Amino acid sequence: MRFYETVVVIDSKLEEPSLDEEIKSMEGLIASNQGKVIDTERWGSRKLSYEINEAHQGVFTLIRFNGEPSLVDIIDRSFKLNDRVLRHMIKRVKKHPENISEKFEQSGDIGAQA
Amino acid sequence: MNESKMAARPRKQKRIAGRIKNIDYKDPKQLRRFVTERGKIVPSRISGASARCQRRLAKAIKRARHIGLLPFIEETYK
Repeated sequence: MRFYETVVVIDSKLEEPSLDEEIKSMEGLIASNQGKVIDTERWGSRKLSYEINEAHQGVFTLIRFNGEPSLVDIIDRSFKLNDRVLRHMIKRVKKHPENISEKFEQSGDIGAQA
Repeated sequence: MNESKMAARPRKQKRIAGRIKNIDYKDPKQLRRFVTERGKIVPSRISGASARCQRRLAKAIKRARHIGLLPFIEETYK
């Protein structure tokens, strides 16, 4: 079992309910492949620093999870095939932070609000 | 002549940054300090980051660029 975190940028054109559904399905995919979702952090819609697939806004989500290396391949593939995912990045971490920080809600930075 | 020119240049502020804690690609606000207005990575000789921190910064900035938190290039200043 290894610790991972993944940042997923979803097209903000997606409506709120289907966005929820999308994130839920990602978590479901992890859970259904012997993974364990630790935490999901939603940063909300942010301005992208550059245009990605004609989108200027993206909904950022950070999912922390545990799982086997094979799980990473599975979710990486699913992100790649998903048109609504603008960008994704899966990184292995040494450990998850003990108290999941809220720093992103505090520091709005580059136009956190759409 | 060249030398005198260099001597005339006022001394820049001394290194201050040194070790930087909690370098994280998910925190563009912090990383912004280490890129220029154009989005280039500031060399450690300017920012004063230690060699180890500079390596970590560079990696974090590149990751942040990939997920769209930082620009590769900033062409227009808004």
